[in-house]
Amino acid sequence: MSTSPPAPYVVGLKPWFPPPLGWWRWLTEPVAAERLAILRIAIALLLLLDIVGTYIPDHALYFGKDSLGSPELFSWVFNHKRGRGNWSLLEDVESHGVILTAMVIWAIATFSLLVGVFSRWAAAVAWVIALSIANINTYVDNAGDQIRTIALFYLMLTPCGAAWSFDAWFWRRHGMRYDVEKGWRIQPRPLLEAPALVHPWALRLLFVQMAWIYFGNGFYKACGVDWPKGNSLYYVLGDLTLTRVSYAQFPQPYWLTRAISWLVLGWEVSFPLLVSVPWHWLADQVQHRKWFGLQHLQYLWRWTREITLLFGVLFHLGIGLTMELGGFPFYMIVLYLPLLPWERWAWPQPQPQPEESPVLEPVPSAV
Amino acid sequence: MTEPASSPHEPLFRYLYLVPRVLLGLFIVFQFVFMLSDNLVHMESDLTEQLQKAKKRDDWVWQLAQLSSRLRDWADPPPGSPTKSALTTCFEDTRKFTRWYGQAIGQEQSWSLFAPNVSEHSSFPAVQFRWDDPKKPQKEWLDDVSTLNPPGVRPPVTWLSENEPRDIHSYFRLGHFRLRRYEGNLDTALYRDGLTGQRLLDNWTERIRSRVREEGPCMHAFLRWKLREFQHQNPDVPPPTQVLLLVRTYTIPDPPGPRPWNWDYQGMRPLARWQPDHEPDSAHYGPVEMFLPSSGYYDKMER
Repeated sequence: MSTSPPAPYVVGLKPWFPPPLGWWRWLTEPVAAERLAILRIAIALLLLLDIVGTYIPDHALYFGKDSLGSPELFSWVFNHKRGRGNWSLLEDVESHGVILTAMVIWAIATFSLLVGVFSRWAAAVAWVIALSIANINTYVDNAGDQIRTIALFYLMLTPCGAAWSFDAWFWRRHGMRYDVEKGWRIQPRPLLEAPALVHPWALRLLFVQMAWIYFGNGFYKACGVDWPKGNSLYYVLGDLTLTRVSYAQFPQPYWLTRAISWLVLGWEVSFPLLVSVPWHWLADQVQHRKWFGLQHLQYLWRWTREITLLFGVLFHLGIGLTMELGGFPFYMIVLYLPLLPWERWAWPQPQPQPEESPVLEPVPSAV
Repeated sequence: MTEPASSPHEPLFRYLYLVPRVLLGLFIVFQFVFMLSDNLVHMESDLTEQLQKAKKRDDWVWQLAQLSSRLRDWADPPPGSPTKSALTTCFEDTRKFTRWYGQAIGQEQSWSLFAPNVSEHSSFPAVQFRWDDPKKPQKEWLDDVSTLNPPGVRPPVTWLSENEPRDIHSYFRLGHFRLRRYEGNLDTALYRDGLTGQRLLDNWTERIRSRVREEGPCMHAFLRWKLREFQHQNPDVPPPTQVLLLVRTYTIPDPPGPRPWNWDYQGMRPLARWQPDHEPDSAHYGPVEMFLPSSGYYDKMER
């Protein structure tokens, strides 16, 4: 016998999609709130390290008067007459004190996002300042910073504090849950202990974004010369401006760098296909078909999606270990975190109830 | 927020509740469409280039493109055609909007890390403080800018980039990536690439001109920062007459490379100069001058 855990409840506004999107379970079926929470925590942690480690110490070097990002140097970014859409709360700000204050607020908002205090508001503040800082000196950011901004944008629009946050803990402790119709309501304790679900749209948008990042990269690489020839990784590892260690110290066999170059190119270009085809279902379909050994394809297909994603994580770990690209590889890895089944580890599992002890028959004394 | 529960006002409430739900749904669909369209408009030039290559090969891709006259006109516009193809106009209009929207929300879609090609050269900026006469031509600097100095004048001081390994054969790099990003916009690799004589000098002149024209103000900010640092660390040294922005270029050998493996150092060469005491007329000229490899002089850059 076992007691079933409390039924999960859904948090957040349910989007209405026009058909056929509205029938698509991938886009509409709620997922564990922990998947959004892990994104919130990981993005906030990386951003906090970034603010404390690179932005605040060098705020006077990169931003404000007489810096490498003096307002007059990047005024072209805000040229709205030429159709540009950039904006910044810090446009034309020369004072280093104001810049530093903005960064301290940014750090506080990010810490608030990390621990989940007023999570969505914290994400909104972090996003506004992230974009404001990025636009006043566009020469010091890279793709990692852009991914961070995109993730903050979605966090700000979603109930990212529904799990693993101070917000969630506080309202559960006070027996409160928000009801769209009635506002904050006191709820019975068992209901409060139920795990939360969220609508998955933000995670799906981020996943599609990730697929575009890989496909776009793969497409441009395929259009070039070096990647199809297989020379790229050799040159990348020999680039003195990026690499963590000297290629002269750790030269790699050329055949290996060629093989990895082609593997990366193929993986990037085919990433959308590798993650969107229902490989598990296909594997199930062919496992009993014994025409021409078709059933053996199941071994290839059953783990295709998992292998693709695992390769992605290893790829970024490899980039992070071999190249100094700031937060880029780590922000990319963060995009994989919501794909893990956090609910398996975080949600209460059915507890087996101790069965009543069987009544023992009196054993006749042997003596 | 949870799903609405039943209430006496349920029909009205459900009706009102639908409005934000529809708006959110439309926003999500819009985001999907934005990602698709912005990525496609960024790929447009590469797509047409690929189709033109396919045309030269006359392969199946080109045969397929021939099926649509719009696609054909877009990829291979008739010579002398005064009007843009319908697809080109569509791409341009889409680009205007997606660029604006992407910039407004910080989601510009241009993903090309190490693509389409990778660099075969590594270049680092360096800064040199000099106390000699700025009017003398410095053509000989093309060979080695670091050692030449007139007698009786304070020897030049050269500062390498914080990002440049002091020993390229043995280092461990951690940090400075934002500075590298900034410096990467200032320098331009100067390498021989099989060119000699005047062709080489013309090639370098064009590279330098293009970079100084685009990045002159940022070069100026960079040189000012370096000078401030220098004066802070050397308060007793008189201000230099000229501050040079140099570039140090290393070429990665063709694969698999020599044994023992090594880079081909191309030298340290001037790109631009700033004279702290003689800044040009700011209404007409940029703050830094470009180096002219063929004459050894520096030339003012018109704004």
